Amino acid sequence: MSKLEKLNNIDRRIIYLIIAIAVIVPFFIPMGLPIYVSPPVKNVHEYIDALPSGSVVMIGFNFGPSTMPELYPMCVAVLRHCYSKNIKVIGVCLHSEGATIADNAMRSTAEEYDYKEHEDYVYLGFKVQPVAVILGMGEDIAIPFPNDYTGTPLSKIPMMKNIKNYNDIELVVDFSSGLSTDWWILYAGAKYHQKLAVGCTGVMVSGLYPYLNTGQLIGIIGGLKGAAEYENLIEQEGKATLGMKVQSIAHVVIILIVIFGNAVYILLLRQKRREGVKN
Amino acid sequence: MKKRMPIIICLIMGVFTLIQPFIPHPSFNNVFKGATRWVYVMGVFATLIGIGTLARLHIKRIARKSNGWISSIVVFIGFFVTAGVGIIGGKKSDLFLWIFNNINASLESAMFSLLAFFMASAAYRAFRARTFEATLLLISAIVVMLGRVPIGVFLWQNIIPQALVDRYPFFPEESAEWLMSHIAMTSRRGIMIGAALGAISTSLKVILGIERSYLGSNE
Repeated sequence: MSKLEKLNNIDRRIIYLIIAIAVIVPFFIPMGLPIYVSPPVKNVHEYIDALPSGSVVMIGFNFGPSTMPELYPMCVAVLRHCYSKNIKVIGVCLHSEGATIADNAMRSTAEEYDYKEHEDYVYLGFKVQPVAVILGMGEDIAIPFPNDYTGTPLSKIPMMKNIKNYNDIELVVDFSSGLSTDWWILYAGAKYHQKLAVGCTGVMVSGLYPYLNTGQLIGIIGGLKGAAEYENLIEQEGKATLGMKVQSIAHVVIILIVIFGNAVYILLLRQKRREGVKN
Repeated sequence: MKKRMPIIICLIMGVFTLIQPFIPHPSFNNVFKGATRWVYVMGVFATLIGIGTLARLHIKRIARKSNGWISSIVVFIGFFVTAGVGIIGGKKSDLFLWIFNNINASLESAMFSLLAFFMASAAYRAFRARTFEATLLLISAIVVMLGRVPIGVFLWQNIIPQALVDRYPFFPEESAEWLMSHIAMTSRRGIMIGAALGAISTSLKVILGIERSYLGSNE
C-alpha cells in the first residue's frame, strides 16, 4: 500500500484525536474573536427591545438535554433581555425532556433580576399533544394548562389575571430542536396571527429561512453562533460566546481535514492514472 | 360497523376541523374547544399504549434471552426507578432532578457530542470533489462553515488585502448568510410546497375514507 493510499484510509482514531484536541485546547486560550450580528438575530433583539414595559412574551422550551449546549445559552440570553426590560414571561414546554430544563432556566435567570414567580413570570410546564396545546392556548391558556408547573390554578395567579390567550401575548419565542417551530407557525401564526420568533439548532436554520422571508417569523436565533450574537447584543457574555472560540477552531480543523482529504484523493487519482499509462 | 365507525368519525371531525375556522359562530368554537380537550385525553391513552408496547417487546427479549437482553433489563430498571421516583416524590423532588441532571442529561449530551467526531471522520472519507455538483457542495459547505463562526471574519480581516477588507469587512458571514437566505431558502421552499401539496392530498384521502391504512394492515 502506497503512502497516499495509507493517508486515504487513515485510521479514524487519528481524526478523533485531532478533533478532541481542537475542541479542548481553545477553552484554555483567550481569543478576541469579533462577533458579527446577523440580521435575523438583530430582528428578534430589536422586536423585544421595542416592547413596552409590562408586555407579555411567551417562551417555548422545546428541546432536550442533547441540544442543550446550543439552545440553553440563547434561552438564558433572551430571558435576561426580557427581564431587564421588565417584560412578563410565560414559559411553556412541549418536549417531555425540556420540562426540567425550562424550570431551571426560568428560575435561575429570574433570581438574577429579582423577578417573582406568579407576578413577573409563570412557568406552565409540559403537556402532551403539542398541536392541541398550541391550538388550545389560542382560545384560552387555561384549556391546556389549568394549573402551572407548581400546581397553582391559573385563576389564582396574579400575572395571569389579564392574560387569556394569544391576543394578550406580544411575541412567542420558540426554542426548538425539532418540529415545534412548524407547529407554532402553522397553528399559532396562521390561525391566531401570533408574532413568532425562533431559536433553533445550527442544522435547522436553513430549513426555517422560507418562513423568515415570508414574514411568518420575525427572526431566527440560529445555533450557538446566534446565541453568541444575542449575548453580544445584550452585552452579557455567556456560555455561547465562550463556545464560539471552540466551535471556530473545530470548524477550521474540519475544513482543513476535508481539504487534506481532497488533496490526497486528487494525488491518488493522478498516481493511479500514471500507473495505468505505464501498464 | 367496526370498520365504518372510525371512517365516519374521521369524516365528521375532518370536515368540521376544515370548516370551523371559517364559521365564527360560538357553538362551533365551543365544539372546537371540546375537541381540543379530547386530544389531551387521547394523548394520555396513547402514552399508555406506547408503554405497553415497549414493555411487551422487552419482556419477549428477556424471556427468549435474545441478543442484548441485558439492555432490556436496564430499560425496565430505568423506567420503574425514574417513574417511581417521579410519581412518589413529585417532579420537583431532589432525587428526580438528580436522576435527570446527572444521568439523563449527561448521557444525552455525551451521545450528541460524539457527532462532531463521527462527522469529521465521515467528512474526511466522503466529502470529495468527485463531480462538478460535489465540488459546488464542498465549496458551499466551506463558505457556510467559515461564515457560521467568528473566526471566518477574523481570518478574512487579517489575511486578505486591506483594500478588499475595507470594501467587504464581513464577507465570510455575509456570503454564508446569502447562501442560506437565497440558494438554500429557495430550494427548501420548493420542497416544502411539494410536501404540503402531498400532505393536503393525503389528508383529503383520509378524510374521505379513500386512504384507510390507519385502520390496520389489511385495509
